[in-house]
Amino acid sequence: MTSLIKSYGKGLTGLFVGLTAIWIVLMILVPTLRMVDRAFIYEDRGGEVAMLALEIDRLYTEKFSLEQELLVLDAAETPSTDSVGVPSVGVPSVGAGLPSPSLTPSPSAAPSPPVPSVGVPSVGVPSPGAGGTPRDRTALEGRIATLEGRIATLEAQETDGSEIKGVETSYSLRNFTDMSAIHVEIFLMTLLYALCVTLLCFVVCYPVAYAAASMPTAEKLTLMMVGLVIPYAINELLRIFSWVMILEKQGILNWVFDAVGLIDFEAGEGIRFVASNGAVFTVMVYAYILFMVFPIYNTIDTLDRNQIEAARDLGASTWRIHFRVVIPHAKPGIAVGSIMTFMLSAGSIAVPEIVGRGLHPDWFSQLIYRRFFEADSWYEGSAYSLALLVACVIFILANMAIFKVGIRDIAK
Amino acid sequence: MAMRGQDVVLSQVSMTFPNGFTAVQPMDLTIRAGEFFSILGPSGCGKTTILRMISGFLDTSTGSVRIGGEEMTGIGPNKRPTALIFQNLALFPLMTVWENVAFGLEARGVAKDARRRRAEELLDLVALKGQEDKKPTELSGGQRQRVAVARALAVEPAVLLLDEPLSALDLKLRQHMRAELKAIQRKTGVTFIYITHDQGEALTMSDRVAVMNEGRLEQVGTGDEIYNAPASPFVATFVGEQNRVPGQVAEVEAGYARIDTPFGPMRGRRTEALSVGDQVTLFFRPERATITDQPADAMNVIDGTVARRDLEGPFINLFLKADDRTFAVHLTNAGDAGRDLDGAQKIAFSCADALIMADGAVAKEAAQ
Ligand SMILES: Nc1ncnc2c1ncn2[C@@H]1O[C@H](COP(=O)(O)OP(=O)(O)O)[C@@H](O)[C@H]1O
Ligand SMILES: [Mg+2]
Repeated sequence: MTSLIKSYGKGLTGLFVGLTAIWIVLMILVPTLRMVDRAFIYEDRGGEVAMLALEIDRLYTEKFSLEQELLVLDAAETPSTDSVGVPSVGVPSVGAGLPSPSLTPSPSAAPSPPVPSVGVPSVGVPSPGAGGTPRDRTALEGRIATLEGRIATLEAQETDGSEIKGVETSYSLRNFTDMSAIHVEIFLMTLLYALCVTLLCFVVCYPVAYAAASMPTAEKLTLMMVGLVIPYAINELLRIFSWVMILEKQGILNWVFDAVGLIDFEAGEGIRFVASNGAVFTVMVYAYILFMVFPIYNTIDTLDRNQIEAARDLGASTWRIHFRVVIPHAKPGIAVGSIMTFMLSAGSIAVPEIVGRGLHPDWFSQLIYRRFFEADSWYEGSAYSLALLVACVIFILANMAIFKVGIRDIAK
Repeated sequence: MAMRGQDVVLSQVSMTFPNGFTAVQPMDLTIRAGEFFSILGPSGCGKTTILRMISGFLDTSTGSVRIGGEEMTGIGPNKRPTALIFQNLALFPLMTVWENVAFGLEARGVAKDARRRRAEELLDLVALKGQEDKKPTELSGGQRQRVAVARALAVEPAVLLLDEPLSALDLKLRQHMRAELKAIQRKTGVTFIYITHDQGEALTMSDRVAVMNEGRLEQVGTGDEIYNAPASPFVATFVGEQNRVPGQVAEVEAGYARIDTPFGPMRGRRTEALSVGDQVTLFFRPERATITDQPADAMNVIDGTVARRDLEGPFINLFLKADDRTFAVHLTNAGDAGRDLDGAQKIAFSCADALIMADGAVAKEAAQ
């Protein structure tokens, strides 16, 4: 801190520290705390209040469609009233009627907060302004009026009820304990898969990183640029899709098999690689390999080559050299690499979604997405996210314990 | 400890790197079993390269290496009866001292108890008892040095290769470690091939010394031979200090030559064939010359003026100017040296202490 002040002066340092603090609070602390908070709020969807909300929702939807019909009728009549010469009355009345139907559906989309009764009175107004009156028109207006009546009573009940029965959202662990067996299984499988991806990544990366670190400097840079950096300049989605192209039933791999004579394309043969575990693993390893290669490469690069030679000179086999000298030295890099790969693959949504195509068992991240946006349950979604977060933190701690590295080593 | 040294024979061994640079010119060299052999040469002359060819980390470009009579071509460093001590020691920092020492045994599948016992024995040998469970970083420079020696000896090598192992230590420790290495070599009987650019190390420890320059062997011999009878201008100037007098051969005698120099005629020993008119250099060592008013007739004499007088405890180093050259004379600090040495003086040295050689490459700077 003092060194910062020394090199940048008080003003800049203050700005820097302030921005960092704001960033930490706004982007990390608040959302995370909000999520943690939500994760423990239980929303009783089967309860009376929820039922009321659902019913009100349904009524609003019905009313909206009736009003739409009414509008269609109005639009059909406008030209005839125009010729009579009372446009000044007729047109604004329709205009006044317009905003209310367009407003009503939007509050109904959010069931939890009680709907403000803004839209209700304005709908009642248009009836006098209307010119031509066919039978169905009055019928429609009548039905709308009835609906409004029901909505008003239900809403009254809802506001009453909230005082007596209390909010039906309450703090509890039920978001976690109510997780269905399938979801728990998906959760565990995702962690297992992520672990597999991490291991696969390590198995692939270690030799690559070692080979890269052993190269002369000039060749090293070229290899790094061509082999690793350029492919990663390409958008992640493109990289995933290129694999889909390869693994598709009509994809490049099957085409190669066809060319080799293993299968017959024309006859509709072909192996469906996508949607298999293997495909998801392959693409994921490919997508996150860089996060494993670079940390390992960096640590191996700092290893004194003489140590490898000394070990060899003392009679050690290649395996022993790696297990006793190189890997222990590369531990911090391996720890960082596997933490990053694990977190990324456990939280990956693009790969299982695109490569899995719904045919592969869900990844937990997909489940979280569905909780939030399809089941529309942000509380459960938060709980699921929290579960994943906790699992990842546990993984990090376990990782650090196994590799006996501290935060300090990792920071290096 | 059942160790035994073996001989190392290099025949026509050379090393040309892929970039076309020839670091070692074809050379023949025989290192005897159980010998303390030093390779002395300025930095970059190819010493490490030779060591790496003997240990198997580099394949020779031409020629062959034989250890204990066995051809080593195609045999990897882990299979050769050699152990290498690296310039930077290359101890394993994440292992304890005893694990370091026992690493070679671990690689040979020795059980843990036996390894530990053997490591303790070896640490005892190098006077490091009680440090078994420390990490190398917790030891001092000299102690780390000893761990490296113990680690290399643990695999019971026939040949121990040491690449400037003492260069990182300070002078006092270096002198102490010289004696210890020598003692360990005597005790174990292992052949030591010791690389250094420090002539003091080479001369004090070695049974024989090879002096190298630019990938070539200049001379192989005992310390006495190297110092007192250098075979080339390079050896003469690289090992110890020399005064140089340029001249031209006037007369060739048996084992001697007479030459004309800017300071008058002189006479000195010769080791090679010379003919009248050859451009030569006469070398004499500062400690073989004296200052005298009445030099004997047979002595070579140079007239100079005292430019500087440095007292170095047991010696007094005088620097005298003659023409545009400076000559050094080292006098023993024995009473008479206290006399006033100023102004014009005569430098005198015997013909037997003067060495005449045809002009050739000289060392850019003498070894330390
Ligand atoms: N791998 C290499 N490729 C090219 N030149 C090298 C290589 N290794 C060493 N050299 C050169 O060979 C010469 C001898 O090196 P070395 O044996 O290490 O000298 P030293 O006597 O100081 O131990 C040096 O000039 C060095 O630059
Ligand atoms: Mg060297």
